[in-house]
Amino acid sequence: MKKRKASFLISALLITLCVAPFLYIFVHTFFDQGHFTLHGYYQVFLAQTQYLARFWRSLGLCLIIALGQLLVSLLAGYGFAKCTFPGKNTIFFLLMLLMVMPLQVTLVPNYLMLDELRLIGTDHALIWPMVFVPLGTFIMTQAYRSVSNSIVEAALLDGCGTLGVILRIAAPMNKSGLVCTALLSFLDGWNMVEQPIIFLKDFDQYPLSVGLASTPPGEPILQLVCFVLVVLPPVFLFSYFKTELVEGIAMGGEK
Amino acid sequence: MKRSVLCIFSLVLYLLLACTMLSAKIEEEMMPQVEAKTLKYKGTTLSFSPDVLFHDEQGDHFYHAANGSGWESGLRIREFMPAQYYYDIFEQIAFTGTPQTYHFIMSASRQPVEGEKVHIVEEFEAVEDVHLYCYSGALPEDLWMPQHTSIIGQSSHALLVRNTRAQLPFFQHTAKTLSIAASQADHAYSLTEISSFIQSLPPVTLIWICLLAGFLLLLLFWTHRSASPGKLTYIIAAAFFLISAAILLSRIDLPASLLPTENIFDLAHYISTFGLILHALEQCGENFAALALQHSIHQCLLVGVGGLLLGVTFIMLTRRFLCRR
Repeated sequence: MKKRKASFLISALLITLCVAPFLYIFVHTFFDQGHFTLHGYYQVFLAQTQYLARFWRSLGLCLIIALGQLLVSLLAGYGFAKCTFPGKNTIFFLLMLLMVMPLQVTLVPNYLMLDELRLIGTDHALIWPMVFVPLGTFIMTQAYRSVSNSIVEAALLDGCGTLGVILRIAAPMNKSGLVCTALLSFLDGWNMVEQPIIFLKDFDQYPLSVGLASTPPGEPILQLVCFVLVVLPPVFLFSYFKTELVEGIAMGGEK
Repeated sequence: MKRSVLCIFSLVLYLLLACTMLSAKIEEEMMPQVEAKTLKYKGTTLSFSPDVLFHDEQGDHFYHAANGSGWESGLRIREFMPAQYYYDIFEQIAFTGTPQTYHFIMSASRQPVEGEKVHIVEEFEAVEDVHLYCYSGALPEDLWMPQHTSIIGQSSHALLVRNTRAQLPFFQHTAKTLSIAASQADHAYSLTEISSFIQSLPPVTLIWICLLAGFLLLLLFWTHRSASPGKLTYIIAAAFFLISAAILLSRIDLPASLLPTENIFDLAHYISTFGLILHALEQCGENFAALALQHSIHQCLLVGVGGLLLGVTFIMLTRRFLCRR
């Protein structure tokens, strides 16, 4: 009984510490110098288009990144899990190595590559490096390893091609892995800060994650309301896909 | 749980789409319009008529439009430092600044505010208009007006002047430079713009009804227990109302001279402004604005009640249809 109470109190304290900053921000979006006001919400949602325009732009970019990574990891993951080719283990090891490297290590090589391709200053400079991030491939590889080889062989014997096996058998069996990949790549894109600053030249092209840092300093309430705007898609995605996300991460951890 | 999350966030998405449309229109309408003179300043003194100065409680101001950066990008109003201009011996405004190209603000639809985004009007529409000048005190003794104008009504605190060489959009600053009597007025309004504003009220009401209807239909979609595919009519209807609101918004044109400076929903500003205008017009013997406003309010109520009845009928028919299935 005492242990239960103690664990309840500790949990309550941890939850409060996690949730308190969000609650603080949310409450303060309605108060400016102690007075209740909707001025911040009016300025961000109605008075000017730039905040919402940047929100939609960021949302579009992240959806493209998530779909692209989903497609790449859907196919690459199957290759690493079920196919045999020379150097597979070495390449997979390099993939894992790349995954644990901090982003800053790959910024300069990415910049040089994008500059050669003349993509610096365009949205492609944000999309393509994010589409080929190895995390999604790693998650899907682990997910596909749980698919029994006998099912795959049976499908191949019945005349199903490799693409058919991926799309009709392997992928539907690993929906949680797919959702986890899409979700994590969306959140990666939504929170990116260094890539837009380095790869883009014009302030108008910056996504909301970067634009948020340069909201007018004289009006902190605008910054707080922008926080609310920024938090909306991640809150929705986590609320809707939390079961699949936990399953996908657990599956990757088990392997 | 997933259904309720999807319900809440689809409503939030609808609101964000509606806010995006509204914010684009509000930003466009609230942007003050200015008349600017673009000159490349090379270092010698430039002369301007004293009319370029804007007067308020803080004193005289001389403005230019310059491109901002970051969140303040676009053409914005910037004030010249007092040391950059002075009155010369010919009582003209003499300007000395750093050599560069300037967009000097000659006139504006309302009092400019430092840092505000502006739209430079290139061409004006020449019209015959009636201007209303309101005075907090008594009328000036000298009511001389230029030849192309004539006083058609006056009271103890207001003056109605017909101007055959007026221009649209109406610039309060330009109207006040008509004569000494006009410059002493506290406020100046254009009757054409007042009529235009009043006539915009029913379409504005219709826009709000469309947006509200779309929101309610989306809510009904999620709350209706039937699993029939006919429920999609709610989504289609909500999308239809959202698109209709967008089309109606593109047709609205609210005169910037009558709008508040900070918040377009500042009802206190509208009540005080139109109270002043209607009172002044009544005193001058003109009641057309009051009649037009009354007519407009009746139209708004008609639109509101009609929309409500149509909405209820639509929902009842759809529910009967879905229940049968």
